[in-house]
Amino acid sequence: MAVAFAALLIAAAAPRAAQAQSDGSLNVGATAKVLKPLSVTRTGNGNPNNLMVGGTSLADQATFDVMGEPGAAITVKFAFPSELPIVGGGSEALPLSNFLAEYLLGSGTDGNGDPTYTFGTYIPVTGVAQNMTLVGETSLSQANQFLRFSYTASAAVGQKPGAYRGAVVVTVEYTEI
Amino acid sequence: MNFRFLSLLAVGAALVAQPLERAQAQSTATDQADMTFRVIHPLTTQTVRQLHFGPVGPGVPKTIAPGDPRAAAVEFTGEHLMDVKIQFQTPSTLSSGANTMPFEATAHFWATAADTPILLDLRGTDVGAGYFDPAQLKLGAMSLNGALTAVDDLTATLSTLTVNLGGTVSPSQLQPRGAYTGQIVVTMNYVTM
Repeated sequence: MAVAFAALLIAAAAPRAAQAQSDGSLNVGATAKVLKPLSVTRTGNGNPNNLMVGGTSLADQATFDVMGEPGAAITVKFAFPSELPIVGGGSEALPLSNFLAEYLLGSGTDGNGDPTYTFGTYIPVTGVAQNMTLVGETSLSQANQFLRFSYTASAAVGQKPGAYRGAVVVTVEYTEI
Repeated sequence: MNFRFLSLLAVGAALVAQPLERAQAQSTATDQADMTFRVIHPLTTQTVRQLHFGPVGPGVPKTIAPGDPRAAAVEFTGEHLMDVKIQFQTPSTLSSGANTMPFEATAHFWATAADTPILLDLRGTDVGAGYFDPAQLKLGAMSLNGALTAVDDLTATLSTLTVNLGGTVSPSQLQPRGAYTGQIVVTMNYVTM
């Protein structure tokens, strides 16, 4: 969005400059790059995980595929809930812990011309909106940035049986760096 | 002159602005992943009734069918629609002090929702539906009514499965008198954890 706005201003100002220098010429560049559509898609089945009452813990993952312009920077926005509320109403909640965000970025090509990737991790703060900026590699024909969020749910002794549900919402957007 | 300038400006802005609006519309994307956990009811058990043969005569085998009122009954209560495994540990004899008497157990179980007994032979013979090997694990459903729909079944309730145990005692012709007892252990666990 920042790129688009700058291009519009340059195009509008160019005639004014040309008018002031009536005997000369002035070349003003106006560029706007239309990027490939950006998409983020959840992968995985989303089936519920069963937990026994009484201090049991179970790890789970949420994964996303991110597609967009090769080499473009994107900002990943998300927030992890610190607990999941019980379905159907009520004050009971299932605490979550051990959050970890992992990502896979295109890093170029190998000797055979096949894409290569680098792996990174990020430890988000629970319950707080997060911004994570990722930059792909321009040599890739199409960026493929894979996100994986890991977390653990723990059922305490006396945890009320039932379903507990929440969601991690991931928004990606192009970022000017 | 001014008119031409304004016109050029307007056209130039329009040409630039139009593709940029499209780019902006495609520069953000959102999706979400559900995080769902189901805390299931722990299994509880209750012995409703003991297996009671009553008096038996020397050399006369006596059988109590699982459906007999004198058969043992054990109730397991747990999460509705969860798959469970049942394991039996049965003695081959009943004891009275140092004396023993041959014993074989039979069992069947049903869930409260279906009331359809599945006969099991603890010797490993297929008596009713399904396969049962007493040395291994028996897989069954906590409820025989309906399919397991894990994704949408978020309002799970309790279900009860009843195991009835009968058996046969085979006293010998010279079987010593006495009260013979034994212990049958029935264990149930969730299998889809």
